[in-house]
Amino acid sequence: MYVGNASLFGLLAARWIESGHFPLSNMYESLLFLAWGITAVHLVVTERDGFSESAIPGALAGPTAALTVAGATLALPAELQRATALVPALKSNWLMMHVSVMMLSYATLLVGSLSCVSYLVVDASQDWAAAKGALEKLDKMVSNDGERVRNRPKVSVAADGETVAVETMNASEDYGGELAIEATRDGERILTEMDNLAYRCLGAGFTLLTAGLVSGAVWANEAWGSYWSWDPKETWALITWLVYATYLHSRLVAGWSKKDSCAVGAAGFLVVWVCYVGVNLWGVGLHSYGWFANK
Amino acid sequence: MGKKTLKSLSSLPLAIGELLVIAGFSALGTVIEQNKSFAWYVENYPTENKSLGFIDFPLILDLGLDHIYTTWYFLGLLGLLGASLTACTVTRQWPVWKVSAKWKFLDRRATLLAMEEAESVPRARLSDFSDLLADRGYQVFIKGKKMYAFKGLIGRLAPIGVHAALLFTLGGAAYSGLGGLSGSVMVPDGSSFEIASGLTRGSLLSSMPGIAKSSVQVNDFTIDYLPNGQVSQFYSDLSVVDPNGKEMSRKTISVNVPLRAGGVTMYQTDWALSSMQVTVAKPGADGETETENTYVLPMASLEGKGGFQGRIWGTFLPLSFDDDQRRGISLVARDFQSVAIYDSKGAFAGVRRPESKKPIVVDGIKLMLGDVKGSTGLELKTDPGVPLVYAGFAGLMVTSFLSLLSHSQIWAIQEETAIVVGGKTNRAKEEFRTELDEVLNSVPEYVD
Repeated sequence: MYVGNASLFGLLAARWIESGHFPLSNMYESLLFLAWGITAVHLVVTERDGFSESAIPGALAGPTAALTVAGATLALPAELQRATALVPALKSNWLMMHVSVMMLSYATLLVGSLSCVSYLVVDASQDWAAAKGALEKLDKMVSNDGERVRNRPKVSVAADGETVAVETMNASEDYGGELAIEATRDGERILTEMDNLAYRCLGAGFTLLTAGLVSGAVWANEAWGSYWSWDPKETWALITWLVYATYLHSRLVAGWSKKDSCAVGAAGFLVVWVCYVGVNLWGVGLHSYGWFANK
Repeated sequence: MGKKTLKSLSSLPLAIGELLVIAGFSALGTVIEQNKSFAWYVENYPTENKSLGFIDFPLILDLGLDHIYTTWYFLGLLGLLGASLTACTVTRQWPVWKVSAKWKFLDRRATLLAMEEAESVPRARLSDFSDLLADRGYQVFIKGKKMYAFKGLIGRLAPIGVHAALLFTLGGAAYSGLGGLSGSVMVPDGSSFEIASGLTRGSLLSSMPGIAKSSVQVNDFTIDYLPNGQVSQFYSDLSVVDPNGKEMSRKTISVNVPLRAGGVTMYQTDWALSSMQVTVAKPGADGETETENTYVLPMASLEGKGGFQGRIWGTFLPLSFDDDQRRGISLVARDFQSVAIYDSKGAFAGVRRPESKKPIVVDGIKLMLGDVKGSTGLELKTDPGVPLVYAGFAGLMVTSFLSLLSHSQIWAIQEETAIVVGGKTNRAKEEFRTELDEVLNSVPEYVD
């Protein structure tokens, strides 16, 4: 993941120097940027405190980034892969702001949605022993033998609030040492972690998407005279926004389980791709530069 | 009654339903092409052979699916969403904020240990723990053997701000729609137009700005090209001239750089070729001396006519202005850079650059191309809602980032030599767990 991230960064930087503008002017460059974003967000998220213990999101994010690069390299015609000059409407400092924020938000949202998918996968596998075993194995691949090392007693509390068991460890002897409490990373724990990861990612992605939409609207108002024109790309970005707003709110509804929320979040994965690639494939509207205008 | 309405409006499932229905209609609007002509829908959605078995043009037109984003039910949905936002802010978010802003000490061991994160740390002092928390940005309060600490309270307030900002944006958009004017003009280089003539679209509530009686003079229109022939940028040099003929302001606009004057904004959006100057030299009556005439020929768009693809303009020069004017030379151009010339039989005669001074002989006539003039396509707009929308945008940016902040609360009590700690947070649960772990790990241990 680190290697992929670094080499994608190098490639994009090289194109920036070569073409003299920010490397986001066509589909190929933006797909590469997206792949870079996915790996970057994944690294940031999983290397953060508290989230470094599972390989499951990586098992989904890695292939997604790889498929993005493969799609960009193999499926796009060669002339679309070349770095080209910008059309007049894109000559603005807003380009960098708007497009890069949008791409980062897509990347964050995709990683978040993949966590939702992880949640659903883990949840579905709970009744199926073989799959459960495989997932837990995968889960432990990067984790350092289960639960974090603690230097103090672990307190378990019964439902009535009474302390029922205190595992005492001689903390002063083994400070920061090898002592690890036997991992209880069962499915339940992984599920909670996936759910929290998804919520944090999607929250951040939603904020970035909001920032991207706002910057796009302001740019459009400055350049074309309308902050909102129901252009298909705009509309789909709004749909994406609405879907993730639904996800964030669905967690607050008492009657909904986490599984339902995660299903909404996972559906967002498809919506992001429709918004990002699908609309350009139709090739209509103000945002069609990336695909057709540079031919 | 009022309270009941408010309560049902603030229901979350209703709000989620609204979000999804709006998303669905929006998606539908990107599948069915919007704002086309009647004939277009008749052709593409015929009554026989319906798309998906039921979509045909009467259905589309009856339901207003050809202009879905301005139908009464779509606007109604947006209005309903606005009402839900308001109701939710008043009945839910505000009370939640009031509860979280009010804090209290907790002193029952069982209450603390029942929290999401709970620990009992022996041989530790409350004062060490509270200092460590203060170092990490917590606000700490201590009363005797009880401690309360929190941070990120603004994260609870921010969602209210998000909703308020959204209301500003929706309100501003509604005001724009009702009070704004817009329109577009195509103005030949060198001519002028009255501002009011460019503001043709608006509702009954919108009013003409004071500047509408002034006019705009197009001093110059140019296009910059890249070495490979692609358009790099369009420039229009515009002067705003008041009814008395006095120049009020002058600016060269381009895509991304509009001109603003008296509440009207003018954007560079389009261009066209408007006229071509041609010098015709014909042999005189004696067969030797040439007579030269210079004409300015208006150009018309040929896009979509006779199989022409893309933007293309043409004009026609009769061989003789005296007798049969139907025979003549056709001049066709896609841009300012080259003109293709066809003779009276329609055969290709050659290509010349404008102002190249290189003559071409067609049908016995010597032609020399002069200046090709363009028209600048301007979009004009007044939008009284923009300040509101922008205020909403600014609010959204700030509050949605603040909404990411997690409101973390920690309670602790000193029990003889041990401290009992309980804590909870509303968003970053994993980070909070780690942070609390780290803090507790670094609480010094007192061994007698």
